[in-house]
Amino acid sequence: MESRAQILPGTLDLLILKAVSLGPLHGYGVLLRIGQISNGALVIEQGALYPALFRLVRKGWLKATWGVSENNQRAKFYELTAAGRKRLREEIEDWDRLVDAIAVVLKTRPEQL
Amino acid sequence: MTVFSSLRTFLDFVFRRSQVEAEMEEEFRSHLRSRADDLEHRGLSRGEAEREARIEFGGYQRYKEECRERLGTRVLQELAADVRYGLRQLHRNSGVNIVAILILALGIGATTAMFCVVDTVLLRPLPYRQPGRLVSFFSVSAGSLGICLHQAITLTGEPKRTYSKAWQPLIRAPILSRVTVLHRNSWM
Repeated sequence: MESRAQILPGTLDLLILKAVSLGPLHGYGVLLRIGQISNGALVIEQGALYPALFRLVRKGWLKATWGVSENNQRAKFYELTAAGRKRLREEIEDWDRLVDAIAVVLKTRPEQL
Repeated sequence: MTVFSSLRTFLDFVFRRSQVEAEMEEEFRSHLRSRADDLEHRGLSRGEAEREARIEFGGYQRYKEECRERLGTRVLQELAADVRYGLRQLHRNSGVNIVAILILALGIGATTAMFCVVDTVLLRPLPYRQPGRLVSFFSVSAGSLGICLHQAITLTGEPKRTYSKAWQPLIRAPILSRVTVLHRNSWM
């Protein structure tokens, strides 16, 4: 439990866009993929994923189509649109900038002031 | 872009509401089933797995509500519910409401009728060429306090000699023509 990280507000979009950019996924698949690529360090409350997915669709960054999942169930699959790909690039740049800035702040020592 | 997407949201709400709702329900259920399947593979009984999947999912109805909000249909849905509620209330106190509606109708009707009269009598211009230049002349007779109607003419139609030079400055003053319109019933 200690090794699990809370997801920062605003980063859920980034994680979803990244997960979907690796290939079309249904909602549960998005959760599995985020869990898998973060080695279980990032947990999202499962239901909270859907409002985020709906919003990303409405913004035109994801496209939803009905298909059949690996266990032969009808499921709604999400994939990245061209606008979504652009958005993902922007979000990654923003994230990198934020991380760099915070890293600089945290490394500051008294004599540097 | 935003206008287009709002319009689409509205059309979806009107024509595809039940389909959108059904798809949302199906998507959530499919999630719960997949999760329960996974948990079952890890050794839970089917019942336990389903229960656990629901717990992990969190507030089912709350997330549906949030999804509706993201779709932009929540406002419309609440509006529709309010209208239905209003109609139910109207139906419940029908006696009082019929009286209220009749009084409103009477009030609106009376006001409209009144306005029609005032509009034709006072506000509309007279049905003549250049009605703004129509004037009526009044003169005060020497030694008398009474005002009598002297003459009425149209400036555009009648020859100029029908009014004296003394009137000229007054005729150019806009206030006179306005007085004229208000008084037209007295000389027509």
